[in-house]
Amino acid sequence: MGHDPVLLASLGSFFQTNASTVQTMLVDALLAFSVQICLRAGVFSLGSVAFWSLGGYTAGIMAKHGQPTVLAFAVVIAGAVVLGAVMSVALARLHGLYLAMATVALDLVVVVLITNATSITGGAEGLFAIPVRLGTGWTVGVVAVAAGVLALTERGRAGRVVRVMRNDSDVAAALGIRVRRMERAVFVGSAVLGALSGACYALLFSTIQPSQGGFSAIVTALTIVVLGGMETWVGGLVGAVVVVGLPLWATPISTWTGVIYGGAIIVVAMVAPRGLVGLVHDGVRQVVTLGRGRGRNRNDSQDVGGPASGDVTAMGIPAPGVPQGAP
Amino acid sequence: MEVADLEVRFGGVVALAGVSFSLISGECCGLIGANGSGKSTLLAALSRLHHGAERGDIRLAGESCVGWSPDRVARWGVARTFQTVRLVADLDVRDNVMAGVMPGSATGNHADRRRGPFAVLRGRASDASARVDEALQTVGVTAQRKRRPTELPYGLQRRVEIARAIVSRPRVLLLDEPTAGMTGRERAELGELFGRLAGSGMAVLVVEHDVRFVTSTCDQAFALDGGRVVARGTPTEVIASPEVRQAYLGTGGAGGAPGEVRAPGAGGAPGDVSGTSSVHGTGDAGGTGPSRGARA
Amino acid sequence: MNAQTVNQIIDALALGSVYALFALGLSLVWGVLDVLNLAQGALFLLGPFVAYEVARALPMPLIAVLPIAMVVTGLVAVVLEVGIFRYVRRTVDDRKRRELTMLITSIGAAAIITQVVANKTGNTIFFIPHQVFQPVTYAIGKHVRVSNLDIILLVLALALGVALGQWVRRSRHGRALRAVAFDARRSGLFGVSADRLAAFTLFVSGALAAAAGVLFSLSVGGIDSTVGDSYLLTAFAVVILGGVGSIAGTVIGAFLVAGAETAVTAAGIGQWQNAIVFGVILLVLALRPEGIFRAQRTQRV
Repeated sequence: MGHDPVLLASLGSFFQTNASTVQTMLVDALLAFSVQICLRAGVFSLGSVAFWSLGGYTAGIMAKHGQPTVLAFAVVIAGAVVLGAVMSVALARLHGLYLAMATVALDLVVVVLITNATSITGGAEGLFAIPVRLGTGWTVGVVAVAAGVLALTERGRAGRVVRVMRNDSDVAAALGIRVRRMERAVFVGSAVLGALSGACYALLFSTIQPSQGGFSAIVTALTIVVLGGMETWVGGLVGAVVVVGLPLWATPISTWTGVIYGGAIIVVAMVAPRGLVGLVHDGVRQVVTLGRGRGRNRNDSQDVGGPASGDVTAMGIPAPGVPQGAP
Repeated sequence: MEVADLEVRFGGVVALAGVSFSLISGECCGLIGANGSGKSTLLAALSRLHHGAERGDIRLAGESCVGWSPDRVARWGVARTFQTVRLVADLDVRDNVMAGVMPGSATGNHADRRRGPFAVLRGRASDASARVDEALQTVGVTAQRKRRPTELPYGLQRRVEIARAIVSRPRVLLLDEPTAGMTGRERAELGELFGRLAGSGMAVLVVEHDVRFVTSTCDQAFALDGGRVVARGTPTEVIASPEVRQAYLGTGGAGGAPGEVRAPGAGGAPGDVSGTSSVHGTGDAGGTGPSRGARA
Repeated sequence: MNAQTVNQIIDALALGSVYALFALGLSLVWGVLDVLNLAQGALFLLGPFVAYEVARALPMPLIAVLPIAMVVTGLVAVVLEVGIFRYVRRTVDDRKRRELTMLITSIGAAAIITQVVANKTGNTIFFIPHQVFQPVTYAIGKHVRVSNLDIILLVLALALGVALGQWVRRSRHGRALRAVAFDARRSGLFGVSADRLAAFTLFVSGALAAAAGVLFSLSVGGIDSTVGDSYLLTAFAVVILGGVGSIAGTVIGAFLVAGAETAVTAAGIGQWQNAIVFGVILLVLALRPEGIFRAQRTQRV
């Protein structure tokens, strides 16, 4: 526990001078959680961004009309649950790339809808002068709750179920896992997290534009998830801190964020598919293994379902059944 | 488990035609047939994991499960292994088996399992953990429980998959070529294991190429060729039947060596085998446990 | 049929040609290589950008600028294949994970290309210089008008569509291509390296996207760097309608979508056309995920 008054004071001043950066990190972490839980369960949905926009606009419009914050959040969550459930049923037959495409289409079309519904949303200009209803503290609370829920799904039985589903949905079904129901639950959960992220954004920054929800938002969300690692909520948080913080500390690159993020996505997805958290985890594991000699009798707890267990097979071994240079 | 007149087609191809049989708890039933004869399709149909058009009926303890989802069939108590081992690479052996523990099945009795939103929490962890250890011990992979499946030799991976299938004490166990790629000694061990599992009250169906394994392990058997049941009865009878010999020699499956077809001491005259008699027609020929005869 | 309707049909045909050229690449790459290449929109943007840069440096007519743009864009697509997709294909053996990784990397590539074009063009609309191409409008009768660009678009789309279809059906590479779509290992049976085939597929898709982009840019006057994203949605609809990997289906789907959009605009509700496109996507996906014109092929699950 940090009781050092100097440290506390310097942390305090850091938060004050960088409040908006920290808030952006938190909002983006929530969005990353929303993308993560889908991808982690093998559901190729990129629909989080659509729910981000819808949640942001809903909360913003309600706040502008003087509705209480609690009611705005309740409406955002309820709306996300209902719309997420409807979409998950509509998209129930889709898997893999088809689902990815349909959800990207959903993101893009929400932008169009919001842009065109000028009388409600302010059109392409966006919403302005939304009363600021949230502070960093509240946002930290929302993120902490979300992270807690995610942590629960990463360990124990839930963690195993999610992994089996991602690896092989047939096996999951053969083990009695209600795959369809789980996928729908994941989709709805993702919708709620995405909408919460948007709502927090609107009520923190008092403005929101339709263009923030388009393709570029997908890129940002994926960058965070891929960079941080999609196995745990820690990855989402770390990714958000890095992605939001980087352009700030290195201003000259800010006009090239697309190139930097795009390049980072490609490189990390190729060589470190489990992201920064995975790299650190592997590093620690290696050190621990070295420290314990052969490391055969590692005294791991029984449910190591959580933080990114190593995946030896995914990388490094050439796949047998893929096109390669004819010998 | 009863299967009546099952037909499965993919597009215009008929993969199974008029297949009927029943599995009885306490009995180990062998299924032989060449590659492409419909064995794996049949297993997929029994576990509801297939994507073809189908006709006919599959009943579990008298209740038709044709409209059921694969996970519902699994929760009722139909467990299976796959032709190629399908374990989760990023979970260790123990967690892989743990994944087979179904919430609510902690009593080992599927029929009176408790349901509800908190079933996950109610299935006590320590109980599940004990059953995983027991399952691992049953198949003999206790020492490697903390390793990753990919670090294990293939034979052990198969055993882990079997452990995953039996950890929830299923009522019906479907095994798709469980001994493929194993040595003779491993086969013998597994054969003995399947006998014990059947003896504990499960209905076991083993898909096998190796007819000798079927004769030594199974109480009953039937053979598929071109999607049809061409012979059924005791393993010895099935193997001796002209249809089976012809199918094996003719289409040349993996077990197609003539020497393998000739079962040691095949006594039953080929004429005894009628295509319509039910699998369990000859009764308790194998003679194992007291729990026999109860229909799964 | 009055003149206005005829003009609208001509518009729809020109628009459909752009969609066909754009979507063919997306469909081909997805159908053959299991890659949903979200960088296709960026390639659609890259084509006119290359044409713009080339024409500013050297005054040349369209007949020279268009092939240059197509080749350069095609080569960029080949770089994606050789530098990224091939590596992923070789290192990730789990199919789901492989598809996801390729999707993610293609989004990264799209971000890079789009940012470069945006910065080089100052984030505003850019125009391919006039000496490249002079649009001429011919009047047929009193009110019906056809521009030379409409004709070029339609001819090019149909010619390339037919050529591609014939190539896939007839040539050794094409047959191998279909084999790859069915099973990667089989392409070896045709004596064609799967690697080279994949690279060539990407080249074709890039070149088609560039052709679509250049001609589209000329027909609307100028484009900015966000154009790729918005037309990606349309291309999705086309591919879904036509069936992934089906060339004839994609071309027909392109004209159907363009016709529907033109009709929506003619009805005076043009701002909703993307919503309508999305509705089409959802409807088709829900009812017939394999596409309307897809020839029967067992769907890989």
